Amino acid sequence: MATWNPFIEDLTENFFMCSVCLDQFNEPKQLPCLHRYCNDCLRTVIQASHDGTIECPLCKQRCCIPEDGLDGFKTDFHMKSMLEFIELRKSFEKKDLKQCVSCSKDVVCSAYCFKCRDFLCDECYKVHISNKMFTDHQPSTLKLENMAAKNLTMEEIAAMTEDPRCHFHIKEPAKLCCGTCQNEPVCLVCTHVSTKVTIS
Amino acid sequence: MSTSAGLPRRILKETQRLMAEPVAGISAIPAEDNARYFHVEITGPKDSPFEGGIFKLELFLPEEYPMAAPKVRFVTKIYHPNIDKLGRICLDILKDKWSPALQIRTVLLSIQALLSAPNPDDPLANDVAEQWKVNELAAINKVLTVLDMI
Repeated sequence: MATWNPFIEDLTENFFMCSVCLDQFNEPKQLPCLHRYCNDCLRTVIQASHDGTIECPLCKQRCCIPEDGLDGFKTDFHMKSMLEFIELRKSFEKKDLKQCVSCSKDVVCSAYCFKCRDFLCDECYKVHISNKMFTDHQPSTLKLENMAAKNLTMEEIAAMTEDPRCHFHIKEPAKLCCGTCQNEPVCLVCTHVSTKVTIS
Repeated sequence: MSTSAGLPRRILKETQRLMAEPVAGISAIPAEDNARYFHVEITGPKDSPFEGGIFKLELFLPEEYPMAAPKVRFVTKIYHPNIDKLGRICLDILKDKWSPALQIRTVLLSIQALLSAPNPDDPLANDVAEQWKVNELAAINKVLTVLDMI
């Protein structure tokens, strides 16, 4: 079995850290200067602005706050995938308490659903793989011990974590590109709720 | 009740790191009764007029920190063009150039650097700056007198 690499631990601490909260990125958003901050940290920066612009805390480059505010800044999907991948690999070896996405309890999670993009506890895993509601999640819901035993390569896990997500509905996988909003990846919900979306 | 209750995670992380990996010539220790108040000591940088001195400062993290700069003041009397009689410091990152990406550590490093490179062209203590520009040697002598080193 692969052992968790302290080098990666070091990498997460030093490179995947938000300079505002000094914690690992949570929903990283990117500014036009390409520096990233957690969604919540960027919100605080925006709230402190009085003139519709913000200054990047790291490089001081000014940029306008988009019309739709925080949502207008792009989510860094690549960074999100990397963090998800790291979280997952860590969970193979470190059995610490995690919040189960289904019952919201802090428990030792035993499974991961690549559709929900989150961890599941034993109880909720059983529901997840049997309930009809989650039919389309079932091929993507895996036991951590199986994943660890199969010793999935980084590429295999990355392939599962890397599909793009909808720009507007972060939990939804992107199925289409929106022609009117600069080819943003969007999900099926967008085709119903927004008249702006044209399929290209 | 622990004083760290309700303290933002960022302040805890900074404090832990300050204790675990202290910066050479700088010590910052949180007060026992207030985790936002730090007792700071900076040693005068080598090859500067302040070499050999130990300067006490106080640092306070306001409620809005890190969106607002920490409040820092010299407690030890110092003869420096950018520091006034009350210990207030003229340093851009403590005012309009503050950024939430800066930390206690970086602020104290900047203050240490200000001791190495006094800037009499942007003075806070006008009389000191004047002396510094007119007769630097005399000014440095004054530094040592204030430090009780001559």
